[in-house]
Amino acid sequence: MATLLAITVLLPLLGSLVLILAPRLDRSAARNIALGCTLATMAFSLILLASFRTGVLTPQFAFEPQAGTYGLRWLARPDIRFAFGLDGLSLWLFLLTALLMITAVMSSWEAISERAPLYYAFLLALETGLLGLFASLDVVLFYIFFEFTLIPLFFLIGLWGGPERQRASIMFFLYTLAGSLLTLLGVIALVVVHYRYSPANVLTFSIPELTRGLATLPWPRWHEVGSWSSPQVLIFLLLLAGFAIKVPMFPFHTWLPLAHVEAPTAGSIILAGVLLKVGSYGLLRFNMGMTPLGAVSLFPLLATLAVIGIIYGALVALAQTDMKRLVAYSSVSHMGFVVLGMFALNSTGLDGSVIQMVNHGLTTGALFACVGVLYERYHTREMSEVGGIWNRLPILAFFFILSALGSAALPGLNGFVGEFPILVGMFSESRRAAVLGGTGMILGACYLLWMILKVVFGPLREPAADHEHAGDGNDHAAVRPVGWHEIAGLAPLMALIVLIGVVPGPFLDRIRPSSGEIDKNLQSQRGSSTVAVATTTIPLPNITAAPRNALKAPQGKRR
Amino acid sequence: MDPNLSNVDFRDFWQLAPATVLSVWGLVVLLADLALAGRMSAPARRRAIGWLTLAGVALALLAAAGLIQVQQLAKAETQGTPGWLSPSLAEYFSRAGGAIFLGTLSADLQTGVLNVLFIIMLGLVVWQSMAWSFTEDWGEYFALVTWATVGMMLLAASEELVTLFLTLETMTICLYLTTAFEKTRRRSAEGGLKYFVYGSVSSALFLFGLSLLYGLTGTTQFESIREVLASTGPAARGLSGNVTGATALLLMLVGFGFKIAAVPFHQWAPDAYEGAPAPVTAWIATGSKLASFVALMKVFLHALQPWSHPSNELLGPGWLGVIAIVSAVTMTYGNFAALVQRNFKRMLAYSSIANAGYMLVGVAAASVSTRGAEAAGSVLFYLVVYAFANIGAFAVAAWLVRDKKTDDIDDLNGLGMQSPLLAICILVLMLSLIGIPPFAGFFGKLYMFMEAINQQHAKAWPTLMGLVALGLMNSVVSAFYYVRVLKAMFLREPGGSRRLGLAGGSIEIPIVIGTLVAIFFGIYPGRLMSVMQGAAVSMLTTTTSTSGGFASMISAPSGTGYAPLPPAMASAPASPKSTRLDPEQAKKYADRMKKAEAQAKALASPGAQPKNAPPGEAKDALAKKAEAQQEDQ
Amino acid sequence: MASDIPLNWFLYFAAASFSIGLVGVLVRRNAIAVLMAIEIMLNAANVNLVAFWRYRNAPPGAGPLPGVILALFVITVAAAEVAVGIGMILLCYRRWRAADVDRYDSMSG
Repeated sequence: MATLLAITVLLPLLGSLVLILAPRLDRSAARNIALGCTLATMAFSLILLASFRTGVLTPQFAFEPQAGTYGLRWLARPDIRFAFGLDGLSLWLFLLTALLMITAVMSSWEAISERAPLYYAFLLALETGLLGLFASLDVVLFYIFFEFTLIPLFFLIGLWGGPERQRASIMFFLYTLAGSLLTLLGVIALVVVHYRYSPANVLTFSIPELTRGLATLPWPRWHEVGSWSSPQVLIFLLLLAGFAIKVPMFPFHTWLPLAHVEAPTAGSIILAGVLLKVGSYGLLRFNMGMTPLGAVSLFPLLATLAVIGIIYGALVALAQTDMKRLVAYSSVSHMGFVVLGMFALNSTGLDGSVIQMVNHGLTTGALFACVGVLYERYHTREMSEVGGIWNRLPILAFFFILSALGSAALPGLNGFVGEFPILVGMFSESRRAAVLGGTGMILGACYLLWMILKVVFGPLREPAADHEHAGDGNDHAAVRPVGWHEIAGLAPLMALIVLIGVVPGPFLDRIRPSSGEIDKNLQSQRGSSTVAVATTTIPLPNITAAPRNALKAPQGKRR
Repeated sequence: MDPNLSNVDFRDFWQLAPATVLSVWGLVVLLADLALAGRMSAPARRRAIGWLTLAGVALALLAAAGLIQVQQLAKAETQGTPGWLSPSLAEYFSRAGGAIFLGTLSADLQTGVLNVLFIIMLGLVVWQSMAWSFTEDWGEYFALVTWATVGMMLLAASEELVTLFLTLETMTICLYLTTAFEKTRRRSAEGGLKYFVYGSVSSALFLFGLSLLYGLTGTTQFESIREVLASTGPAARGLSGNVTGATALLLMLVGFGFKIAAVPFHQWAPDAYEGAPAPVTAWIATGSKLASFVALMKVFLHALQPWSHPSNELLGPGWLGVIAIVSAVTMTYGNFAALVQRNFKRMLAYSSIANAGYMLVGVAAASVSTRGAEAAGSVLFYLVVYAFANIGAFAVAAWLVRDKKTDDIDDLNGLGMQSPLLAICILVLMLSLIGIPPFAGFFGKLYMFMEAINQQHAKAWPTLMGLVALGLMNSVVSAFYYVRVLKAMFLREPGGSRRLGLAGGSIEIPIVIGTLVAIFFGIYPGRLMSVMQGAAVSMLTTTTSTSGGFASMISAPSGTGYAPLPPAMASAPASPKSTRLDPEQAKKYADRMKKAEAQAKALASPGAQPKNAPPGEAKDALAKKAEAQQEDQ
Repeated sequence: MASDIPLNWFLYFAAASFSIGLVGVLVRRNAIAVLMAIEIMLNAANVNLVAFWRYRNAPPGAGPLPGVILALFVITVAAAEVAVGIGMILLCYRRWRAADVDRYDSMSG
């Protein structure tokens, strides 16, 4: 299985190389190769999913030459390893990547005509980057994939993007690079701290080992709770810098709308669907997993930022007339929920947070794909210029409504499964934050339904006469019907939106062991002493040592 | 006079084979050019002389590689002496190592590796020079470039200050001249003059510092300078109250600061880089920098190490604080100044200034440390990776100048559409220079910064941590200007009246090789890293009792079948370095080795030994070296 | 090493002439004068080297090359530098018709 995982990760890269090196590929050959690659990757991922054992904490499908040591030795010294493996946190994101890539290829089917081989090559390279990132069990390997994703996306936005693509791609590139270098510093610091203060002085880069080792580090100051001068808090902040920009959390979100609006449809799907998850995955893996004290000390601040992000994103989304921009701001809002769930600091919130990552990937990916389909026909993303597609493109309208409702967390669809536990988890922690977050949910329903109302149901509008595309034979006909590839790209997403909403159990079961470990570390940090963080400036109540069984605990002792 | 002067072993000349080949080849090139001058046009002569020089480079490469091979063969006594080696030479090589010519030059792994690197890079520079006719005096040009390389090779090998100064001058005087070689352009002469004035002033400053250091210690040999400094006074006092010492050190630092273009001694660099023909710029930015850094590390990390004195006050009584400040200022200034440049070469000049700042972080780390050799090795690794990337980048500049007559960043517009493959290569080079994985530049930075953070010295740790943080932030800043190159290549349409023509081999090869180096050592950095660390160990030869980790490496137990020399041979003047120690000194030295060994044993107990000890091979080499050193006593 | 003139005198002289040279480099604008100032600096170092060689005992393991040898080499190096420097100055003089270093400013930034 270890080989299969490595093959799954590297297969798209192989496809990418074929696309670059093969001489004179035309568009259809290129997209067929790309589709074949993504389908094969998906198939392999499904095999991996089928053989994933529930209830196991240790990473699975990892090559394990000795117990506890994963992967092939890559560098002798320092001992950096080429180690892949999946656990509860990464499994679903891994599959999500494989799935959304198919959607991305499908949505580029007709849209991309210039330099198609190169385009698909970048797309596939991006897939390898993302799959590798989620599967990495080594911090350096993780970081390498983390940075590597920048390059293809830079070109996807910069070469095939909208009119402001240059600014968007460069802003995206530099913004994320700036944060990620601080993250690198944090990661190195983690490794060095573990090396210097762990009992056996182990210099390891292995993620599972670091997670385990740092939780039990016998270094007095590492455990000083509540102290801002604790190195854990400092390292937490360093790590946060890169991930918060990726997520993006509230004050760092400015790159996102621009990048989303300018990116080609496939770029937006991947950006919103998977790349933002990289940030939250990193937060979960590193910030929550390795520096739990930082999370405990700083949670009021971060929960506040998350709530601000939720409400701010929702309000700005309400004011948008551009569909893509609206979905982009809705991402800011929904990713706020993901972060909020993490900083509920209990298992309910964490589970909700992990599943919400997947949900957001599915719904936002689907929404962007729908907007892309519309854009191909109407050549506009203004809501006022599109209307009544229910009559014109019923299948698309159905997809559009379903994904919007999923995104708005309608009970019975996937969004609810994620956002409800997050709010419940947060409620036991801070009622105010939960209530404010709930407001964000309502606002979310407002702007999404508003968009549906205008686009799907309003009076029927035909595409404006478009001189730019007049040469295209297809565009003379009023609206091209939805093609097979568009249906094929969206249908699996729709199925999952419903499936997760109806039977979340199997999904959550596989997440639980890993999220449970993080929860355990967090609780041990909190249990060791009371947290006394000055909250005069932070509008959230102090936390107390309340019972952490969140589902039944709104009545915990509180100020 | 010194009675030992008659002890020069003339077989030492064999160790200089690569340098000798290149020196002689310079003359051959000059003569050939003279012979061809009347018969051929300048472009034809350019090609002919260029190929002739390349042949010499190949010969020198052969000599350098052969030398390493012979050294290895002769050392590996299991196979017996190779038959084709005369007995006297076989005997010589089997015990040679360390220093030659009475300890003025080193001939060991470090020298061998660096020689090979210099020669390969010279080959790329020469190849790049054949791209277009910026001068007519091809014989002189190629001869000077070759001789500058000889200077670099010997500079990197020098083991004492006189040799160091002379080779430094050999290198820079040749480079001054080649900078001014593009006679059709004003800026070339101007750049040459500026480089000359700043360079010779810095040489004078360096020389004055050197003379004071000589006065303080009475010697020019690195090893004995170190011993004198270590034996005089308690280490904690350092430079406080020692005006002469401080002056000497600062002056030497200024001298090196000029050579490596560290702020505030960098003013010559942008002008010289912009003015010089692109291949010469490449050679100044890479070869000269590499050699100067090696010399700097030898002087500061070996000879002046007792004066480094880490303390938590930034301006403590040692040079660490000074280096730290210079490093911080250099990288910050270099990066911010590069942001506003329009000229590609000038931008690279500032980026090279900034890179000197990064590398000084590694030097600072190596000075503190218990892991000096690893840190110095990471600096060497960074230098090599940086050098190859830069040679590629300057080949791009050569291409621009050849076809567009200007070399602004905007001249690269639309290159991504014109020649996608080369553009992708340049992309890789730029990403490697920013330090984005999976390219070699990333590992260069990673290794260096990890070594810096991983120092055990509690007092110096905050300083180094701060430097690393600053370095990473600076990498972000640097991304802004490198990305401008990418933006021009990929996101803009080609413009301007002149179009870039086909690159041609002489421009493609350096770019492609630079790219391959960046990719290969990005995916597989381990091997180069261990070679560089081995080189660093021999660069900072000899242990001191103050550096526990280093000592533990040196005396690590070995599993090789290294047979010690018979006593008779061992007492013979094996290494001039040791013959020059009188018995008392030798006893002291042996004591120190024993102490170091004891320390190493203490360290080897579980929990204290660093887990990332060198891999088998390097360890064995180190052990061999240690044994050889002990044997020499 | 008894001697009529104390070592310090040489050192003061060397330091003084070195300073004169340094000031000359910084203050004079004429390229030839700068070149001369550089020579003064090099020679100041030479005075140091020879004086130290004469007055100091070499420690054990001091290496084969004492200061006086370096002084001899420095004289050679200085000659080479002058040759190169004059050549460069002439090259610039032909282009700008001036030997004033401030005039050479075609590049900046």
